[in-house]
Amino acid sequence: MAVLKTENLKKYYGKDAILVKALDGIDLSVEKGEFLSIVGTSGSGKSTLLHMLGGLDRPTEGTVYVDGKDIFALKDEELTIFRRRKIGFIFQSFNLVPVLNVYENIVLPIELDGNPVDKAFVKEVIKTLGLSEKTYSLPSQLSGGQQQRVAIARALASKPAIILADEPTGNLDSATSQDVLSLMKITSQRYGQTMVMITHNEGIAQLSDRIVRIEDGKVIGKGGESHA
Amino acid sequence: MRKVKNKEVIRRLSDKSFRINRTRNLIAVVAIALTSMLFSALFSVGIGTVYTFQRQTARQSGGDAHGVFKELTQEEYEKLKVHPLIKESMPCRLVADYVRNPEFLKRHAEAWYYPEKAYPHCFIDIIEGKAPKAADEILLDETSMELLGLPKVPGQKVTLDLQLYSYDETITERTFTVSGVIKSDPALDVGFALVSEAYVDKYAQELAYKGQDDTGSTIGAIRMDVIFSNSLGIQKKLDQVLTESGFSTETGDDNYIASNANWAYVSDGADTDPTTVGAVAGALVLILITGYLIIYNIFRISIMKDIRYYGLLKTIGTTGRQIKKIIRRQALKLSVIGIPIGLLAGFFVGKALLPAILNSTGTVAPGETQIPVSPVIFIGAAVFSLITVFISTGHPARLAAKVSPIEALRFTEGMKAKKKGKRSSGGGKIWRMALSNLGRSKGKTAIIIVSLSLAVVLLNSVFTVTNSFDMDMFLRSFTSSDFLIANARYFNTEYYHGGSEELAAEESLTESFIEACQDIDGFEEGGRIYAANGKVGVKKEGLTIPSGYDVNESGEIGENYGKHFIPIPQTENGDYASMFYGVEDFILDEMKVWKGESDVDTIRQKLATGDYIIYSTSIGDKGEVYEDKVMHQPGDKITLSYTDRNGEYKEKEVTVLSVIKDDYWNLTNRLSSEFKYYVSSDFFKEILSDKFLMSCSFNVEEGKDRDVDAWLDSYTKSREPLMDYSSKLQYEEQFSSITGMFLMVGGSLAFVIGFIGILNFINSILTGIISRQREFAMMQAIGMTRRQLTKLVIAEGLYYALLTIVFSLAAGCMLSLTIVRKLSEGMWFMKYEFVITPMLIVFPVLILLGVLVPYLAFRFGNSGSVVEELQKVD
Repeated sequence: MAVLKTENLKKYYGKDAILVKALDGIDLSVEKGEFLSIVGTSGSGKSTLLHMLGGLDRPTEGTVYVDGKDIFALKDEELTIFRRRKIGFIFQSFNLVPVLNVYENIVLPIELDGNPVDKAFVKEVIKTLGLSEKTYSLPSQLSGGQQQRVAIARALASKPAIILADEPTGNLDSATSQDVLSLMKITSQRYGQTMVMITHNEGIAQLSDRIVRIEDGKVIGKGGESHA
Repeated sequence: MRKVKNKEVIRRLSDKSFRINRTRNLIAVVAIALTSMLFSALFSVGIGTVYTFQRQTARQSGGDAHGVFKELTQEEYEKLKVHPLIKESMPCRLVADYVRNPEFLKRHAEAWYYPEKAYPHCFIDIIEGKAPKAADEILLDETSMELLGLPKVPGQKVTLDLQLYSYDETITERTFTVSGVIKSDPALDVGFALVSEAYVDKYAQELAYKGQDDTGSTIGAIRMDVIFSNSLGIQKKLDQVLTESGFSTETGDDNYIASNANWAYVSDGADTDPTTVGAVAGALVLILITGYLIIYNIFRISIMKDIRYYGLLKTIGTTGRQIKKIIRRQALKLSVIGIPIGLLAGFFVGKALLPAILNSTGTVAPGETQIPVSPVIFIGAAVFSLITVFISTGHPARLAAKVSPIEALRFTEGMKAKKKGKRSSGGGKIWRMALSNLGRSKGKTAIIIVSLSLAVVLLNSVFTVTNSFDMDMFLRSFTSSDFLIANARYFNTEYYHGGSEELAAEESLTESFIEACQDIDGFEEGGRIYAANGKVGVKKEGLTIPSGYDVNESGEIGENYGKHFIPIPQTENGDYASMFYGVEDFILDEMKVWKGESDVDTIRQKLATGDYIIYSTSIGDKGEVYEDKVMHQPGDKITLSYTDRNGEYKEKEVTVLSVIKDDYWNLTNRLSSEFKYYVSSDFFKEILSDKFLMSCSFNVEEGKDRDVDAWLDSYTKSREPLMDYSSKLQYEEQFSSITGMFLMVGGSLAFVIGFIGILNFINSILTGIISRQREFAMMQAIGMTRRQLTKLVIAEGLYYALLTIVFSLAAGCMLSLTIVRKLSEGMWFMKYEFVITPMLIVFPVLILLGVLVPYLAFRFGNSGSVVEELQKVD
């Protein structure tokens, strides 16, 4: 069963002469446990798609189902709560809270939800990502690769159904990129999580189970439907 | 939604982001402190005023007892005092109707018996010595001792000239030993001699009060001060005590006993006064707006600066409600620091302002103002400050809560400055860029301009109001001439009676004083007023008594005053008694004609014939005529009756020439009468006598008033101590203290609001520059020189100043012509005038600030190198 599914997803900006069709009818389906890459050039609409998938922005038309649930039927506040329970984000610019240390950043979504932290699990994730020694450092004391690993840990910590990664290696050098990516793959497999990553780097995309290409807001060729 | 245990993490997030906002916090704390200072100063002054007036009233009404039963006989007192409602009762007695020592002429003294337990309630404060025990011991106040020329120590021998009964002028001299000296109450310009219980016993005979009779003497009557368990519903309790003890509360009944609640506890008076309520409410709203403007702006700027941060929090699952909580918590923290500082500061500001405010009303002596350290001040001000903080942070918090995570990831305040355009236009481009920079955040710009303008407009309004105080109008009501001289009794509570030629010798003005005045260098012209009370009658025939008067059972016409019906006094012949004034020409100029002939020359000529008179009618506080009490209209013919100088009874028909408005301070003997007539002094002297010389008003040359005032002061002290005077100068001083108060209070308010406006301005410029460091670095990277950048920020500051000037000029003029105009015509001695000079004076200061603040902020705020700034990642 598809854990993530979109139907005729459209997002338009502006109108008339300057109408921009960022997404123009995307049908996409992602199975549980899959590692999917969305590839496209800059301006192809891939970031917009990711934002829609994560419920960060509302579409002009169409729906997104997560675990069979139409997420845009939710109110803003409910959507935020849904997001922090079901979806983990990893951004190109890490987006760590500068005033919190590594551990606090990782457990923030769990604490915001008012749930008890599964300390053993978090500790394991930290260890897997090689952050044990930096547990109490502030983001500013970490290198870029380390910061992105913290972001991955944060995305994993609440055991979300889906992890969405927006150019997770965009700010990293190639060696670190490889490093981070293999960690992402390992963790998604180990914890059985579904991962959707957008990138413009074909090489990196090759590491995923499946690649979907987007151009001018449309899926190019096959690949929209899952193989499974 | 299920309840989640996330308080801890919210607290942590809030506290940690709190710490990195140092500059914001500092400015916010100052703003909150200023706001709460304004509130607490307002509350201090308000509560201090009520409290001071309450103490004051308590003093004037003789004590802080809850209520009083008046003029009781011993028997009545015994009956009343056992009533269970009464917690404590104190029988006080007047032991002589007058104390006639000549030393007490200008400041009269009263002789009382107070039981010792009443001392603290009646503000009797023994500075030295002890309470009187023996019959020949008394307590005396220090000023009275001074007047008697005695050292203020116990043990002195004092002889009091007691006039026991008001109707009997016999003076009984009694010598006492001063057992103790009590403090003189500046609120009460009266001396006190307090006798012992032994005295009351010794003279029980003469103090035996038999109830009210025609003599009007109240010697020995008991004034029973009572204290109940609390001060609620005092008059009700008094009435209950009376009825349950078998007395009546109805005036006119035989067993009626007068009682009243101490005014000091009657708080409804001040509370329901709509002007006061309006003024206080207005001040509260004004402070709230002022506080709102700055606190709102501070938080808005700070949140805009951190908007990406809030967006990020939202992306990882912080709900809007949680973000609001984070911001609320920070606001609360800032309040916890700022409000107490403001409360304390405000309390002391209030303490400093209150005397100026109250003294200027002329009713409270310096040093008599007091602000109780009441929790109401602090709780009230704190609550209002918190409300302001929460209202002000509400919108910014909602802004942060509503931020869409996507937008926040991209967000920069407004649009980026445009870098297109022609290279060549040089300086002009910077100006245009500055203007569009202001337009980036219209809300912020608007708030800065409004808050700066508010101060300017307020300042201008304060000056307009103060300027509208018209000294001439004010003085005209009190004195129409520069000086007024008369017997000291005239100015004292005894006024001028003009009842008989014999008595007149003691209360009249002396010709020698007038002559001395006429010889003063600078004397211009003056006029005498003669007054005779009841010497001239008005025939009842042909008179229609207007509806404003009461009629009693026996058909007499008069007025009801509480227990008594006071009929209009009559002469021996049964005619209505008049208050008859004879005035010299100079006085005619001072009259305010209501109806009838108003040309002074015509009046002078017609009065001189003796066939015409002027009738003066009563007016209210605001100068309005009580139309239902106007006895005559111009043209009415009335018949006067009098006994002329040769003892011959005469009647004379005269015509009412004009009706004038009572001029209490200048033209009357300060006693009321239904028939007040003015005739020429010659006619007055012709039919009566020149003995009834009440007063003389005169003018002096310009610039001589101060000298003359000083001369009169010394003359009435040394040469003729029985004479006294009042002067325009005295009223001028009162006037300037009123205007001074307005200037001071309004000025300090404008100052604080101006300060807040400037703070707001500095804050926005500063945060603007700090948050745009990257942008500036980028500008420099693409080739803008530092010089040009400095020019840019200065241009922005100048635009703020210019917009403020335009806005405040428009708003100030509009307000001046509407609300301020209304305010400026609020009191009878005010005259509105359109003023914008204060604004014009402030504008250069604004321009200077507009240049200086951005310049300094930029110089000290922008220190990193271009590369460093560009490399900084959020």
